[in-house]
Amino acid sequence: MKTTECSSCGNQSVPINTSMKIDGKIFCTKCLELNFPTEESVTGKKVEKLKDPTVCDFCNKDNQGIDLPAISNLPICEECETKIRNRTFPNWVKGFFATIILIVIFSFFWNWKYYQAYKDLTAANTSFQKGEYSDANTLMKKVADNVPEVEEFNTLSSFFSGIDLLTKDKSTQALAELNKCKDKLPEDYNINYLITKAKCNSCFDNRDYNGFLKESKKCLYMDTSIALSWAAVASAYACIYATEGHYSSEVLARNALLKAKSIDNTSKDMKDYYNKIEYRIYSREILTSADFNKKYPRGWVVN
Amino acid sequence: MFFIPGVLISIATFPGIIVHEFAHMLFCKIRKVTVFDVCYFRVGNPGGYVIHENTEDFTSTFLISMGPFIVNTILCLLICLPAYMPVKFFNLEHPLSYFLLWLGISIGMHAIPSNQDAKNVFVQAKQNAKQGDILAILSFPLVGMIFIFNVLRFFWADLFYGVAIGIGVPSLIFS
Repeated sequence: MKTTECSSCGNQSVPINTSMKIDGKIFCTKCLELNFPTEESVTGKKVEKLKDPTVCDFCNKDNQGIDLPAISNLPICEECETKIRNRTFPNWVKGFFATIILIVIFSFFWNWKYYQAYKDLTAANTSFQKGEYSDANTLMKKVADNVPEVEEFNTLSSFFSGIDLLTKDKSTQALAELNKCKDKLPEDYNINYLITKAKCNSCFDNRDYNGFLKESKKCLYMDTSIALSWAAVASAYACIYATEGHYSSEVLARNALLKAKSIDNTSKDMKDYYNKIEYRIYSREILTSADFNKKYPRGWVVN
Repeated sequence: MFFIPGVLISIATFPGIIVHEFAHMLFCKIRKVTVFDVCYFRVGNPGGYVIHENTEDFTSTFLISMGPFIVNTILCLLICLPAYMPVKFFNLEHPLSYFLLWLGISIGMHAIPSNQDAKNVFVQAKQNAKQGDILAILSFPLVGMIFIFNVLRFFWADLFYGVAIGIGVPSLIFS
């Protein structure tokens, strides 16, 4: 331990570590308290804490008058230096981080199904917009299975399935699926229109042609600007004409067909549909869409 | 703007303070800078600290000071990401998701370095910029932003940052 002299009391054996240098003058602890009793009394003065280079700043070990090496001007003994240089994270900090990492990994696995569902949902909507209803239906079913706790996806799965079945002419099954969505989807899903459309097709499949006419008229009253709705009414009258042979049904069928053509006489799907209705009126033979396509793969023409 | 004492915020977001000090300590170890004392969390102001030797190497000073910005931000995102989808997209209120969001946002809230950290960078950047050190030059706007951010802490800027990283970034990814 090294000592110094107090500039105030003249004591020559003041341990350096207990002294302070103020404006270039060294003071022992006693004189410091006497001359500078408050913090304000040192304001504006240069205050330095002197360091004894022979005493470790960390453990206060006295190196018997021999200077110690220093880190950032702080004298340090060999043991403290080793300890400081090898300072590592405490076990509780390591445990804290291990726990966080475990929670993150667990959460990723736990929540993975939601990310998968999000991916499938995006793909299902894309497929639906492209008119690939079968793919959309499969993907939406996966979403509903992955996240059964969200009722909305079960409804959407039924909706997609209903549309898919409608396009495959499986109207009775489509009706069952679409009925599950009733009052559960927003208006822009046109669920009531689709249910009525399914009922139309279901009546046709069951050869209930009066029912077919009733439901197709319901569809038409919902929106008279759709060519398909007029064509469905024409198709129903054509069926009644084919089975009962009343001339009035033929006239009504032809009138509805003209109305449909005035709205859309260009799209291939509608032209194919008109061709089937014209065949039915001409031949009084009721063929399903599939049977007609089989019999007349290139359509039907009379001269 | 309502005022909540900093100590209460520190207690409520203690994981962020631990990670903040951990990040300082981590970069001290990576850059082989001696650490004299470290406190990962305490009830007080500051909530934690790392006292390390001075270094003349600007890269080390920069990394040690900015360490929490890097580590806390990444951890905030990683923790909130799994919780985002069930809560925000599927409206599922699972306790684990809310726990993760609290943990992630707490950590994100303490990502921004303190004024002391910014000052350490600024002092050395002034000297190094004169020698054409690119990192030192680039650090000036960053330091300025840190000072501004720390003023805005009064207006809950730290919470906004945590929410922006924990919820805003996943929203952008899955929009």
